[in-house]
Amino acid sequence: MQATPSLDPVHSAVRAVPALEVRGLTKRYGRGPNAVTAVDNVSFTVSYGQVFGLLGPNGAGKTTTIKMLTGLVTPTEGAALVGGYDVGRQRGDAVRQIGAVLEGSRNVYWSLTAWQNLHYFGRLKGLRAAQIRPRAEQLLRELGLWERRHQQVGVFSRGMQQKVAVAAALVTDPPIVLLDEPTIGLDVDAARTVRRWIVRLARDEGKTVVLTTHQLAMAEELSDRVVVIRDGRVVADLPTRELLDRYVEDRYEVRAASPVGELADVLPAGATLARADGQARIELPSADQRPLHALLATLREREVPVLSVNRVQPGLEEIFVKLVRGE
Amino acid sequence: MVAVATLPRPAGGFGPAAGVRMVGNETVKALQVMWSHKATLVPQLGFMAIMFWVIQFFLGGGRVLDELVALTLFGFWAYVVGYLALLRMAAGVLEEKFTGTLEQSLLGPLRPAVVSIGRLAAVLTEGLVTALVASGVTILVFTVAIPFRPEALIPILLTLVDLAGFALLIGGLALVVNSIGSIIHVIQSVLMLINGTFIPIYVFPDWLETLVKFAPSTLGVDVIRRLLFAEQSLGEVWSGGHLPLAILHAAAMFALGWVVYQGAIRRGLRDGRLG
Repeated sequence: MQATPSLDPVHSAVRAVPALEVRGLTKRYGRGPNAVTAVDNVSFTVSYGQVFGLLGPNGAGKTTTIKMLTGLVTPTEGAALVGGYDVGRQRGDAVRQIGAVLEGSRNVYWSLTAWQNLHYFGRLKGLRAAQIRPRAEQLLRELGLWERRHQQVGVFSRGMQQKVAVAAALVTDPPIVLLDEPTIGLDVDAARTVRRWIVRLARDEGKTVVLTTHQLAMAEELSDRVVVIRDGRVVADLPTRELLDRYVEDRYEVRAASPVGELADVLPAGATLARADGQARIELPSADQRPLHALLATLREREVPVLSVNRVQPGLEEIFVKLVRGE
Repeated sequence: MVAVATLPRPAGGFGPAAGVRMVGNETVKALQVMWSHKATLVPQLGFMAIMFWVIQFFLGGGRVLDELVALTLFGFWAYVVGYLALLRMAAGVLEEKFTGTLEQSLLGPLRPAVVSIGRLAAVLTEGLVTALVASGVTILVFTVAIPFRPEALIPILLTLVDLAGFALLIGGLALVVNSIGSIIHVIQSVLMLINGTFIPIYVFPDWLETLVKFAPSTLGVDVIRRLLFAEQSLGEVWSGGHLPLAILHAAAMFALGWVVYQGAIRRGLRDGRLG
């Protein structure tokens, strides 16, 4: 274990703990027979510098989990540690480690300007004006809001408002950033900016990012690791690559440059033939490579150009659907 | 696992100095928000002042009686503070709940109870600034002479505490029962009618006078009037039972408001209903 060699005055404390540690976290709303368990005995650990995808269908318990991490919802059982600080017992130290953009809300004051918002949220977390100013300027410049910093956030476009929310979450330069559906309602360009920022936060600034999203392509692209929650329970918790590899299917896909009709008679038993992107796509149903070799030999005999041979790799979206359906 | 940096506590930790800075932060934010609404605030203030003058004309039988204006001005002042305190602590907090800034304001290192104090201080500052401006205009227009004695600061402070408690009470109830936010103007109007804003409570029938003493700010305003206009001494308002009652009322109202508001925040955190 190594200490970070040089730390700026703000990041002066060095701790050898996970960024986030969740142990047996449970949240039940209500009592008696009408009680609803939103989060059920969830445990996971997130290392510093990871982009952690917390995925699940609507009502799975993602937002409740995020809110328990921020101290905005009190757990019924279990504990959440942020930077080694127990959110329940050391709330002040714990929440200082976090910047959060919460789902479906404005997150910032629309009647204040971007500049006023950043100062308010910076001071709220214990910074002085002299510490806030350079950081706020840097963030607003990088997000392209500097020229409009003295305008009320309410007059901004949705994308710009979300950028202000992201800037407000980052004004204290927290090591952990929680982004609950950060691209919801954003147009393509604004969503791309947020995605780029997530990459930058993790790769360039070493921040830990917890990301909840329904945009699974984004989760697949950005997350080092994903946890999938269904009905409040963790149904998968793996590094993204490993999760994808686990679902590599035992079947092969051959793509060939030939009209589909000419290949109908060469298919091994159980194989399917379809046209995709102007090519013939043949799927072989098993991991047995003998039919594959036979097919390739036939294609060679007929001088049909083979474009690719792959084991079928479902995307995160397909895997997610299987997981939440319990398949 | 690699060793990494976490944000340390700020200099001075999360002690009283941090609490005072947080109160200042909330107050600055409240004044900024208020100023951002100046297009509605200024007409609103003007309307309040005009309403006060119209009622003065009505009570004076078609004339403005300086004596009556002076006598009722502190009631008006208490009404303006109470009006804004209720608006911000009930409707304002509800709006923040629905826009998500209430949760964000609790993401600081200080306990929610300290944040409540900041919010309350901001609300009272906003109310006082507005009341002073509105009263100042009235005093200038009518060239009303307001007698002042330092002893009056005691009931003024009690009135503020009383109104703060009431605002906390209604704010807390609004967090639990959202519909209260939509009848906030009714509550404000009733407060104006019974707290002696326009009519000194001693002109009410006995049963009503007894009843309105339970209303916020009524007793404090009554003590202010006794000290400044009836030329009673502090000893006299004490021995007459007016000041002890005002103290008791303010303390009880604030305690009740505090318990209800903090309970509502705790319940909101428990049930995830703050955003």
